[in-house]
Amino acid sequence: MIPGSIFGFEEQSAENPYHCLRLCIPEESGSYTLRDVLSELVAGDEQLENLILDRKSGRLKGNALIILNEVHSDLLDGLDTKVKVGDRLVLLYTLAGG
Amino acid sequence: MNRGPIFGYMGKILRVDLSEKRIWKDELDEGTYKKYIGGVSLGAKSLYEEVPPGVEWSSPENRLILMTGPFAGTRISGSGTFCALSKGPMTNMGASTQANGFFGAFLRFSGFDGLIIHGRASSPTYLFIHDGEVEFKDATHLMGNDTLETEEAIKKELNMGRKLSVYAIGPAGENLVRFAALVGDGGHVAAHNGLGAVMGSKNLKAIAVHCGSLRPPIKDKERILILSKKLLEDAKRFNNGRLYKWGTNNLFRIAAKAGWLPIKNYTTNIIEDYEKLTGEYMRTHFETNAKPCWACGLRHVHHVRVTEGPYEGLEAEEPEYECAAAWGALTAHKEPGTVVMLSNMTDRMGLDVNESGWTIAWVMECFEKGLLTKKDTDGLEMIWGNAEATRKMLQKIANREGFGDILAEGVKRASEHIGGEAAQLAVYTHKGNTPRGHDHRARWSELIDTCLSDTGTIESTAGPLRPDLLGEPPVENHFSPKEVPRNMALVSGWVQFTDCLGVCQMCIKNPFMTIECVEAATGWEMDLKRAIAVGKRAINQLRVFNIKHGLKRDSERPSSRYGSTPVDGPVKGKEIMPVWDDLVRNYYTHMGWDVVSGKPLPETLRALGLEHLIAEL
Ligand code: SF4
Repeated sequence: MIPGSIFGFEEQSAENPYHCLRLCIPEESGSYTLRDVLSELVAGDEQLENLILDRKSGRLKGNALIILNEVHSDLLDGLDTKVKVGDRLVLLYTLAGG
Repeated sequence: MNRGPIFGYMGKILRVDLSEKRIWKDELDEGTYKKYIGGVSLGAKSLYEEVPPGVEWSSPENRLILMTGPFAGTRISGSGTFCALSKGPMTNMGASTQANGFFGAFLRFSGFDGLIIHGRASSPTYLFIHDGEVEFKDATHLMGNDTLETEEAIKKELNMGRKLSVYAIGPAGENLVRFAALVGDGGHVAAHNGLGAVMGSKNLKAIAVHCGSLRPPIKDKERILILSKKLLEDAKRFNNGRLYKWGTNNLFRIAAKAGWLPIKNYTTNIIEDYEKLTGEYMRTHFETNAKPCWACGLRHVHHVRVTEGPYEGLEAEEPEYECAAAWGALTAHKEPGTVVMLSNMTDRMGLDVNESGWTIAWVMECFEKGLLTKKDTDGLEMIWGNAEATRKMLQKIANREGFGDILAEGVKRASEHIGGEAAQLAVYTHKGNTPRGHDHRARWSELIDTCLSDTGTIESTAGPLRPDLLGEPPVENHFSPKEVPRNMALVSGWVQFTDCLGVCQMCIKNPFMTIECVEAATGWEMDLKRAIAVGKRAINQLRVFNIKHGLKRDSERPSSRYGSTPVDGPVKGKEIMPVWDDLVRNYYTHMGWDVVSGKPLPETLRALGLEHLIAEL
């Protein structure tokens, strides 16, 4: 199980600003990656997929980023980063400005 | 012979010479409008043609240019915006900055697409523009007033209330504080690169424009109406409705999580207990009501009444993200009412909130390290989170009083003045400007943009145009010296194009609908490629201006703290400076600039219809 939170994608309320989820990954699998996590996350949710993933290249869209165990995933192996049970994942929809 | 209307335009630029107390009106031809569209692009052309090298920012020969565009004063949401340009005091080079509200619309209703101010008044003056004419009014009695007091006083004096838009300078502009801003319409700010100081140097306290009876001729009114509604619906949905629901400070939490919230002058990337500083908290705990700009259905601007803490009862504008970043994270104030109070003080004094934040945060870090003491700071205890000391120091800066006089030069010059270790702690670019309220060490594209742009703030990033909309893949690694500059250059031009239109950036989040609106307003054919070319024209025009006014490649880099390596947080240990030269070279290459000097190549200028600039370089 990976405790995860996605932020910026969903209609959050002030009281519950994070959309929390628990993702199940195979306990045994040593080869499960962030890409696999995302595939599962967006399966059946076209809207979310459109926000997160660029279908053509398979990359994260410009405004989406992942922090895995408090580290920016681009400083790891990007979407090829291996994940394991107990990892903490935050998926953000970022925008500058204001 | 009277010419027919140029759809989308009033057809005239108003010129005011303060030295001679004279006005005249330039009529522009359709070809010029078509090539430059308006806003930053048209303004950059005038700046280039009228302000030669050798003219300093504070000289009467400098121009203050306020430009609108084809959307201003239409039914398109947020179309009260104008773009202000000049030679700015922070960089002593080109400045371009925008403000929303009503001014852009009202200027058009008075018959003008833009206003260009020459000279210097012999005594304090404010301008009253109405019915195609200008009155030069005495402003002696307004001197020393803050920006909001000035706006109220002029509205009362002219007896016009909501039918008047006023942009003014506060004490900061009067005292030529280098990061003084223009503030108007109840708290909107043209903030960057010190245009308030330019206005102060012209002895001009305020500009008031009446909501006249003229309207811009629109080619296809029905289509504009339909598109306006679509654009608004799109903007409301943008970012999953978070901007609409919580305002710009919905970003606070995202920035904190992503590691790009600027915390305690870049000494850390981790912030605890920030819940009360978020947009969500302020909207749900303070009393708020919307104060939208001209025609705006997105209505992100709110006024608040603080309902808790030491500033309970204070009524002011709701802090934007940039304000919460400066007066919350950067200077470690924990209390939301304090952020409201300091944001209000910044606006009233007429200061740029970004530069103010970087300056105070630098003082606080120096104070913590013993590099500055109470002796230096006129007895103020400049410890992190000291709200009253911060408030007093802002007033000192605006009035150039004591230590405030040193800080009034901005954090680059102030830190160089103090020298030693203190000089190493300040966040700025070597051009003289500072970043917006982010920790760009976790956001390289905006760090590059802040250092390499020609406006005193960013010019390429943060727009809604993404590479995938151009059929290109998104950046795979946001810290790649190859990919990041390439993708920045790819979308570069879009933001500047939108700054030509006379509309709030937050209301036009869909590039394709925006282009359709330009077509409907003007009757011209427009597409993404042409739009980007208009924006790139502005960028290159300003770059050539800056090169002629002393821009050197060596100044296109961050200060040592700005380009330092984060010690914690999501990008801990990621160094930018070892690849800085690669980043710059790659950006120059993709922008069509010489890789050594950064000068636009002849073929780049030729492709943009700027061949007349080739011989000037
Ligand atoms: S979105 Fe905000 S700043 Fe923009 S026009 Fe509307 S109220 Fe004004």
